[in-house]
Amino acid sequence: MRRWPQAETIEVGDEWSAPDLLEVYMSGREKQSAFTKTKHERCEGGRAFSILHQIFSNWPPPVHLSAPAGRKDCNAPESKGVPVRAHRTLAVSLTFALMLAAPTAAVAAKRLIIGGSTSVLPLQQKLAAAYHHQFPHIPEPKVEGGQSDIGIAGVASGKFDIGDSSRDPLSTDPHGLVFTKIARDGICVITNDKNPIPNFSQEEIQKIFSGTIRDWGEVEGAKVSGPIELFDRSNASGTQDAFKNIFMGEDLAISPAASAENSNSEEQNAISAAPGAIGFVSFAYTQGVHAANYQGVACSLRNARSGQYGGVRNFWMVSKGAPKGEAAKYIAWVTSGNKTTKNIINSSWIAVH
Amino acid sequence: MSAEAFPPAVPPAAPPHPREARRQRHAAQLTAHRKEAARDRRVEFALGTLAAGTLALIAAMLVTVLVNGWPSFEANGLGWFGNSGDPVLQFRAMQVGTALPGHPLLYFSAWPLIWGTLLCTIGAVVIALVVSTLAAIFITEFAPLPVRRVLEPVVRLLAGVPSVIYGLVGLLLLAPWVNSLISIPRKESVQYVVQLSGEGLLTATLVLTVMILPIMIALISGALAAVPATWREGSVALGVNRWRTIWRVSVRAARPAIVSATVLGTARALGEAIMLAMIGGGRPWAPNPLDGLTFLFEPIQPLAASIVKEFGDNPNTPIGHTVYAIAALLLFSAALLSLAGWAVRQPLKRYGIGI
Repeated sequence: MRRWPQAETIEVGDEWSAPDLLEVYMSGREKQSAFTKTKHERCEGGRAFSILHQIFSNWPPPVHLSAPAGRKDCNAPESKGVPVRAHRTLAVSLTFALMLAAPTAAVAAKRLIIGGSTSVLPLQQKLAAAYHHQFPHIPEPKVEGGQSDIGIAGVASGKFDIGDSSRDPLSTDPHGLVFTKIARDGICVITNDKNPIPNFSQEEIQKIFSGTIRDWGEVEGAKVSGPIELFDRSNASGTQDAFKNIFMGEDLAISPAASAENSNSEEQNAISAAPGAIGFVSFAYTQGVHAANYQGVACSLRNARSGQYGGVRNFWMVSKGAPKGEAAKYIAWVTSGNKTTKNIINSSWIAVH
Repeated sequence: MSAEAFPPAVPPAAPPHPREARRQRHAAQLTAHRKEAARDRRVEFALGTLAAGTLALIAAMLVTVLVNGWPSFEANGLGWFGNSGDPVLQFRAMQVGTALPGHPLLYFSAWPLIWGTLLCTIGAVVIALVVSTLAAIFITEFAPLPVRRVLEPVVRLLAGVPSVIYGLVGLLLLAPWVNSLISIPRKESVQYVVQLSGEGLLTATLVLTVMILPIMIALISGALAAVPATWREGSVALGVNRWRTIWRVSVRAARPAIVSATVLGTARALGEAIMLAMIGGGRPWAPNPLDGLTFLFEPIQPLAASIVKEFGDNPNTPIGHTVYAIAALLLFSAALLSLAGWAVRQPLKRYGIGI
């Protein structure tokens, strides 16, 4: 009882009855909230409750009153719905949010998300840009990296619409995936620019990468001395898979002492930084490092196209089941063999369509 | 709808007895009070649901990780924490599906990962603790006001930089420089065992230190600034010189905050995955301190970086079980860290500025 406000604090005249008092009290209490009333205005007289309140509340409809003369009437038009600063802020921020959301909502076609092999990445980026250039109303597909295994698993889990793979399908891959070949690519064995070794035979590569030969002194044509620094790729890489299949063969494994890099560009960077380094990258990543010949054949696009260079592997686009919708359109465009795609693929890769 | 239409207007009745009026006034207040109480209960229920939902999410995460990682612990027993094999070969065996001779497919010995994590985390935290305490003392006590006004926002800005940036800077700038420090004879001395390069324990620890410094500086300088001026003034009034006052009064009072900052920094260092995957060296190896200076250049692959590198998103494959087991270990160490931080802070809170 003592906590409740004393009767003397309610400024009303003596002629008010209990329902009137209740109304006044309620209107006086509720005007504290910034969302219902402006701050420093007291109004008097019963509030006309909203239609919802009248329908759903258990109260009897309150008595409508007008304010005594000289006092501001709660039901007068000017004291109803006075715009509050909070209301204005809400309106402005909602408008901004809708403005930002509108462009994305307005785009009718879905944006494709493509991800996976870092070897396929440069090719896929160029293809996506050309696709958007040719069909401006279709949003440009978003291309990510992450290595081949991640692309394949991503397609199976739905994270990607299309996956990129630079290795052939394996039995351990998830079921129900469809691999569509889009190009062929070469793998070059690279060394630092300070160590431009002219040629490697397959036997030499196998011995170096398996750890049998550990010093540059044992390799003919080496311009640096000291221990060989091996650079491998991590287990999720398709390039590593292709390298193992093509260069190392079935029985040999890459030495566990090798440093495992996470992408083609990291491998390229690592080898360009260390004079005694050797590793393997895809064709598109041979700037700043020396690409050695393999079995007497230069690691070049022409040799790969003619079939002379042995280190060539397939690029695949992976979809869950047969490609559908936007993904089907994109894959069909890439594999159609039209002039745009042919030009792009032939710039650094080998076309198959 | 017009104000007059509904409800119908009723003119005010005759004034009642004052006692009656008072009773009715109190009834009105009671109803209003009850309405407010009901609203409070509804809000409490809504907020409680949100909090319980967060807890349920964390519990679900914990249970998922433990359940999916259990097969790896079961197959290896306590040998999971041992050093009986090379994790590179073990990961490869799990990836390909061919078990190593004489071992099950889930065979795994995580000691190189655990040791690498311990080394780089403890190293980074110790260096960061010293540097951040001194930097915080400088910012709060010695820096002139213009310098302080620049330093504080800059430190907070650095705390928000994504860790991949640090990794990139470390890879492109620090690693080649560290590589130039390693002489060829040193590389040759261990060439049949491990490959030394610019990416190794030293680079990883240094970049990790730089990464956890800003948050620690921000926390400790905040706590130092909150030390009551009366305490410092009292100390100076007793004749204690400036540095001693700072060290014996301010820093001593900020000890709970320093412990909190250390715990936060350690947690961040423990969880750092992508950056350490880039500059750790790419090989899970347990550096041997008895190697002397070579120890600093040996590669490491901490626990979180291993989760990033060994892609095990399918929890039904052997590599998935192993990765989830590593995650379970990380969660457990994070919980242990939290507990340790709380336990260390308890006795310090009596005379300190807690946060």
